[in-house]
Amino acid sequence: MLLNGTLLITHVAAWRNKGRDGGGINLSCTCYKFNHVTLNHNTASANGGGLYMLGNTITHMIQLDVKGNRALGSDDSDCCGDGGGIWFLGNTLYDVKHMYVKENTAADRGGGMFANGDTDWFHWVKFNHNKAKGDGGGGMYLSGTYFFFGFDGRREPGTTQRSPRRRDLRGWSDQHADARHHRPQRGGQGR
Amino acid sequence: MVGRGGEGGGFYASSTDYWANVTVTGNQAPGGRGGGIFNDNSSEYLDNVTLASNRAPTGSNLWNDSYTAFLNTIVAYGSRHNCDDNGAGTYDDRGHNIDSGHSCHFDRPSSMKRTDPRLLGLRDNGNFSLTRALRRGSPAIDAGKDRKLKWTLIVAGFGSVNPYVYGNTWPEDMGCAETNLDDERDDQRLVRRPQRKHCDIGAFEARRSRGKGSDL
Repeated sequence: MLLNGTLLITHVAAWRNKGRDGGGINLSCTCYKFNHVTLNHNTASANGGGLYMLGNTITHMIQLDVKGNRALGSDDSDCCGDGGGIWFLGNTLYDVKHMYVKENTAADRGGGMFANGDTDWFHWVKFNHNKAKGDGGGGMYLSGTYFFFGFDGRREPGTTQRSPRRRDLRGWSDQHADARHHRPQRGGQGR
Repeated sequence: MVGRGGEGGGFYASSTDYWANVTVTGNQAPGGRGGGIFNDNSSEYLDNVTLASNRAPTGSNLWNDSYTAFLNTIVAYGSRHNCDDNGAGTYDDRGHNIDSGHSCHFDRPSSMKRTDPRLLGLRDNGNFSLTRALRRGSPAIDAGKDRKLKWTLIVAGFGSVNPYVYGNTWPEDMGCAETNLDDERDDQRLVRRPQRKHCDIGAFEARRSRGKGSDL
């Protein structure tokens, strides 16, 4: 999905889509709400496997399930492979709550999320087993100004730790990550 | 940009970040630095944070290239040194911290180094997320800083929004942090702080009641 304008986005699911930036959703909007969104198993050839956001202002971003997405960095341009689950740049996000980010993979930075934003607030956000194969930030690669409250960044208990491997960055975990309230729909950007 | 090899198993931070009631545990950067957090030329404020059991060859829990402030925070059980830096790292001990080793430069009288915080493993202790509870007799219990500054609503260009911040600047020294931004102090699970005379150190507040419902 390529979305722009002034939007209220709620109850959206995108599964198994492909795109260059934002395999699931490529977002360019002024959004009052971005709620109950499921982005699973999407693939971006450049950045933001699940969600790609550039220059947005979003005041309520609640209940996101971002799982199993990949940023491959296989594009021919000189970028990429950042933000396996989510990639954003120049956004202002307020009131990000209950976001579950797990099992996403970035070819370079920010397995779960690559974030370069303004003042962003995260409440009760959980990361689980995300990987950055490149420079850093298995769970999250941050550049900007952030506030975290009740953040849960850790490995799932009982998970067998693999033997250490260079450039293999184990991410974080959660326990109740399945927030799939809605039937998945196809509808990717499909570029 | 940092070198190849992988840094920041949990977080790679090249910005300014404020953390309250956060647990970062079990991450790893096998080939690099900062198993939990890699602070790359940024300012990190840790308030009631449990940063434990992360793995990296150097800076197992924290690699601090710049400035990190600690308050009511536990740094423990790293695979090597809990904290490490390139020689330029500043460790701002704001008091009431626990280091299971001595690499995080906690020098204030209210802070403890070479002290086992007696953390239990990661488990479901209620509410939204898994946490690491405190064992009975943990030095973190009832040892936190209590002072709480009043937060004020910030007004953004599109109207009043939820985030509160003290004096429209960094909530740098809040103590006994709140998670819910409802002007009530609580831990990561939203258990009210303090349960005793003072807040506990770390993201977990041990409930006081005996029997069922007690955390000890």
